[in-house]
Amino acid sequence: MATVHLWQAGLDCDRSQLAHYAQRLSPDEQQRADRFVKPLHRDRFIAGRGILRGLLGQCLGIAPERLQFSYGAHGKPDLAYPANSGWQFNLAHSEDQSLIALTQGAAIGVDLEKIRPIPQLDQLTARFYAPDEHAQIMSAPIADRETLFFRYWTCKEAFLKATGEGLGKLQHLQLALGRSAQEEPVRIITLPESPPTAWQLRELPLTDGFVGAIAVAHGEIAISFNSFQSGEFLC
Amino acid sequence: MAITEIQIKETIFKLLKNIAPDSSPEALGQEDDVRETLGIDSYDFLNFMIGLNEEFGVEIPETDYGKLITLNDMTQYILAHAQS
Repeated sequence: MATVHLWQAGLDCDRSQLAHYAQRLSPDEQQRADRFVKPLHRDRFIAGRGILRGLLGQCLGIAPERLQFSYGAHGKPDLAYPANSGWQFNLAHSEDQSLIALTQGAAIGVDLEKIRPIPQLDQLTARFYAPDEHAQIMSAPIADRETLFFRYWTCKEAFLKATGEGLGKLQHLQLALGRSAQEEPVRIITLPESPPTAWQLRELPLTDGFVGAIAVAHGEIAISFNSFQSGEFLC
Repeated sequence: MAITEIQIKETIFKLLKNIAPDSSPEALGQEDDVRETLGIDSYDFLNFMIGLNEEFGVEIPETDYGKLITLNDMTQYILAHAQS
């Protein structure tokens, strides 16, 4: 059984919180923050990285600013220092919300999305989703289609983030979702070419207006879920 | 008449403004990571790829998405494929 520690955290912080989180960032993260065109995006990046470092630091018993990350071909971050800790993590953000997931000894990916209008839903789904997924979305009541689209999207994205693969494999991952989130487990119909592994793919109970999912390369998982909103010091 | 780099960049800026209305793509440097710098998530990036396809008639296979990181990458990709 793999225990997954999962946090949903608001990213809009006051200036003192932001300064607290900014002190934890590495030079390359600070440079990355400085490259954002909009201060809002910069501040949310700083908050997300600061919170991630705080949570990882607590798990590893190490000061947040001492952690070092490396990045895979598609930008997936991993722990470079301390090496060989066994801890794996992933983070996602959408608008002012973030998801951070930590576990030991298993590849992990998370995603969340704010549900929003999709102008070319039929075209987009036909091109990037499997035929059965496309048919299910387009036959759902109109009011439910965008939510269903993003439920599939977050499940696929969580899986592709766990494997470190990019969007190129989107159509090769076929899933089957129930009528509403968490009503039935996500069924994996086909996987992209990747090492044969048992996968757990779960939809998550998030703040209204958002959907999210987690993928873990393990036969059995237990999720410890916490939610913190803006204005609270998470770590 | 062949499309120019300036026309490509203007169209890229227009598409980026469509998917991220509060961004300022004109401020992008040639070698800046477009997604990172403008705070664009993967879903919006997919829409951007579809927009490039529609505007330039260039079919961009999903396997090439990873090559389109910077403004320069995108401009050169469109130039190469729109003329071939």
